[in-house]
Amino acid sequence: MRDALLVDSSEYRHILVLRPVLVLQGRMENMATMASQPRQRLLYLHARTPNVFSDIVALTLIEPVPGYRAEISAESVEWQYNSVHEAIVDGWQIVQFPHLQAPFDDRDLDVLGYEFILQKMAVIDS
Amino acid sequence: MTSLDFLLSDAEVAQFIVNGYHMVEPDLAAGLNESIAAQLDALESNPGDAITDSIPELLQVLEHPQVRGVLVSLLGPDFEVQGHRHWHCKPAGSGAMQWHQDSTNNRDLRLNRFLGLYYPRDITPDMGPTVIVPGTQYRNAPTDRMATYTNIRGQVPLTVKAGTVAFTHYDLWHGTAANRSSMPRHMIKFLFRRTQDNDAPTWNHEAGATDAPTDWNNRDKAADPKNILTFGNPIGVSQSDHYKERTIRRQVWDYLVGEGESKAIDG
Repeated sequence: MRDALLVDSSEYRHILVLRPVLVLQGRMENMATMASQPRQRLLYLHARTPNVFSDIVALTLIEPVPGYRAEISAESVEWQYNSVHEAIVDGWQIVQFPHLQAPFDDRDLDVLGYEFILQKMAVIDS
Repeated sequence: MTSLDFLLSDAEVAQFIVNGYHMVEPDLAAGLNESIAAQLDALESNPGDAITDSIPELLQVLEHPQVRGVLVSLLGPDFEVQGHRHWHCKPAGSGAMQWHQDSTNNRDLRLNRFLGLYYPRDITPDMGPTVIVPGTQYRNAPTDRMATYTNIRGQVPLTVKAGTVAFTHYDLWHGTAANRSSMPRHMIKFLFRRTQDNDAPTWNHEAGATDAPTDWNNRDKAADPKNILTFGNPIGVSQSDHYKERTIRRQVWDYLVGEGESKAIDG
């Protein structure tokens, strides 16, 4: 096909025209298939301690839809979960636990809370 | 009225040490905020440090006794207004900015510099306000490590009245919400610096201010410096972090009252 693109020959012109159409059709079929496939929703929960029952200090929800942005809100925030355990009860699965093997300093302060990353698979229409 | 009439109290200094911010609403001259906002609206480019050359009226904000009272209280009478200042314009329709600390992470237990954020126009939640996280100023957390945080319990959007000046610790975590309004959001950032180590408190200090008994029964309502420094936990951090914070806060307090063992101010 690479050669066909380089040759100015009438016998290949239909290929040059048809090819984008075929690609477009393929993408649309692929998108239709994708829409019916479960996608990964992500939830970052920063808990006060590594214990799944401890309070949440920060929350980030990532929806697997084009153009989605997680952003800081200046409005009052609705906290969907008060603990990692509450999220588990609601069907979220932990895919990464906090890294506790990181260097520890008994005087210094660094990041806030312990990060759990959770997922929930869902079929999404958009 | 002079700055001496507006010095902070012991409790206010302790609150700044714990929370990392303090806000004032100076009684500015009538029409000053409106005039500054209109001039900012008309600027075609950002003059950077020369913003006070473009709009000299901004200096009236810095000279207000209520503003100077905070600066004298926290940085001493010889405080310096540094040459760096910046017009932070968040245009209508602009997006949010993620959490960050300015500059690199070099925590300093001396309170040697902080910011003053002046808002010439009322800031509503839809105008993309600055959002701060109280108590995070002592965390050595590179901005990259904050990238997975979005909303943090206890975060404070600076939805303020026109003319407000928010003094914020230089290392305080901050970001902005999106501006979904039809108005540009203006903020002028000033940077202030200490030039002399304290050998005594420079605010309205009362002898024995930290001698109050520890009050375990009113931890959430602490009103005296001793109990504010001991029990303040604005975002509900873990016990481990809270104990570390107590130690750091006490070191900062001791430095400010002139009792700390800290290195001399850099030139």
